[in-house]
Amino acid sequence: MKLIIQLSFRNLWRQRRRNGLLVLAILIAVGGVITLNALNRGVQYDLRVAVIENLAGHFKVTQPNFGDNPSMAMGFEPSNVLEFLGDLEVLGRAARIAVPTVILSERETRGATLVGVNPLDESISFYAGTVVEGERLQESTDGRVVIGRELATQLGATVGRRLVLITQGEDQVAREFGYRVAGIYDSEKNSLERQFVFTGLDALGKRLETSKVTEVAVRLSTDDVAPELIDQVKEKFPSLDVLSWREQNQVSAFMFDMLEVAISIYIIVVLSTLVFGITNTMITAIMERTREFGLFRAVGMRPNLILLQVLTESITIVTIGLLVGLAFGAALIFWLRDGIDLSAYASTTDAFGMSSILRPHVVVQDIVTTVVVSFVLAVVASIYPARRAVKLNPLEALTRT
Amino acid sequence: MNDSVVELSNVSRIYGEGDTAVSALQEVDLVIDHGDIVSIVGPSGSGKSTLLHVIGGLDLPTEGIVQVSGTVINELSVSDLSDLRLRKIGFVFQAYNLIPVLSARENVEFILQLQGVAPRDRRERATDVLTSLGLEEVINRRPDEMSGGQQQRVAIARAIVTNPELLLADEPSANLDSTTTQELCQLLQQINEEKGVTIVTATHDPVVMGYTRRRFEMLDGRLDVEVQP
Repeated sequence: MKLIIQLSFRNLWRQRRRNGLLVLAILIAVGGVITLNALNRGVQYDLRVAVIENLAGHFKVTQPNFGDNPSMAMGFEPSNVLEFLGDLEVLGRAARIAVPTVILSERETRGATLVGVNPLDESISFYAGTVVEGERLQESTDGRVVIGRELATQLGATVGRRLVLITQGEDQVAREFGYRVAGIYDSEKNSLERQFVFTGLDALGKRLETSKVTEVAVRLSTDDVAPELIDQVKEKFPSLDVLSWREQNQVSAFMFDMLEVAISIYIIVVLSTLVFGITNTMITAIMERTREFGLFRAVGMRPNLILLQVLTESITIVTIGLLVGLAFGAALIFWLRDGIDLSAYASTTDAFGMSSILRPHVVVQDIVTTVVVSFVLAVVASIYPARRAVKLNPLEALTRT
Repeated sequence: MNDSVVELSNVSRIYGEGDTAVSALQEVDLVIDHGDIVSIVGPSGSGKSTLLHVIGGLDLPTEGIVQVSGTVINELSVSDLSDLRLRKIGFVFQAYNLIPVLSARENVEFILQLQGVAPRDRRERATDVLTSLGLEEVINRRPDEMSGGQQQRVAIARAIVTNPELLLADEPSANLDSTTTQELCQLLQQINEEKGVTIVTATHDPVVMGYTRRRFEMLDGRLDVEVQP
């Protein structure tokens, strides 16, 4: 084996310019795929986090068909659900009332979603990370509202001003209450600022004369455990719906899946082009060294050793290409670590609830896949030229000029 | 006891088929004994090289039986033929055929590596052989840093380092001047006498012929005449 490695390295060095170009091609392909995949994963990550943090959680417990009729009539007593979830390994859970509302200010009337929350439980949603002008809700009994900057602008509302919110109760009868604006929140996404108005859960329940909630959202530490926990909750509460974030936001889930396909296509298409490069380089190398391979055969080198020799050369090139490609990809990702500013396309990113800064997100499995696929393709690409070398008639090879 | 290294019985080698068939060897019978030094002579295209290739298992006969060191090579597998060449036969080619990326010593060691000889042993053996052939100064040089004569001597060193029973040399002096050819022939004679290696050389060089004990003449693929030198 030492002989094979020695010959391989020296032959690679002998044609260092040509092999250097091949390494460069592998570097660009591997580094490019890794970087593109990291950016795609960044979009995926952003999409998923956006949905999860936009009150969906990893999963949410509601009455069946709550999505079709989001009203207080679809409420349920949360105590059993919260108690059960308390025994499971979840990062956090939040019971909420989320119902459509019409908001009237002195200047404008707008539709929005009124969300009754326990502020202490909302570390699981985007609400916890917002910057608030004025005050945050202090507790679940806080009867004031916190509204988004965009909505405040539309309504002409400021901190301390009163707004009137019209909401239906369990009995489907509209109720009209005055709320004072405790604070105005800023979110990365304008759509959130327009849609969600927060108030205390207990205060809202009191006004709507109910102890029920419309949803219990659950945040987990990882995605991996979601299916199992969802199944457990479904089994325990068969009369309730348990919806994953994908089921709650099917558009984002579709985009997420499309990006998954795109990542696979990048890996396959870009790395497949390497097959041609490697095959071409190795065939050229073998044609140039026909006499040498003829000599190997003539002096008694076994065919499988010649096969191994050619494979070792191509594997060596690919290994070097992979290593520098990984380094190149890592450098590119590091360079892009602060993200690409997409604020010029903010309306589009906002429509999907995404951030306007696209940050790369490295998934180790993608890198492993890229490395493994490249390696396998390199071996496959080398088999044809290697077999050519093995099949050379030593006599013809030795006499070829 | 059979003392022959090479036995060819009614060997023919035909290239192509039908009207385009060419008989490179026709019903050749040949016996070469241990320790012999033999030249196959004849004009270009007479079949000298083909005969050498058939003896060396680089080419197989269309008809007839070829025995080398008591082994009938006609039916050997590709791997067994490789083994036979590796352990019993040394080749010296007209064009030297050294491996360009290896030094003189590495070219010689290469064959020993294929035989699985331990690193220290093969290094010593390669150095000894090269030194005995007067190549100590070029031991670490690559082929493109050596003269034609030096390259041919390295090729001989590679061929004999495994102590083969049979050394096949195809036009070994073709690319050498007369002085170097003389040196080469003396070297082959020395190897034959000191190591007892049987040498068969295909040549049309009278200087090379002059150093052989037996000389066979070939014409149109037939080995007709044994000429006494």
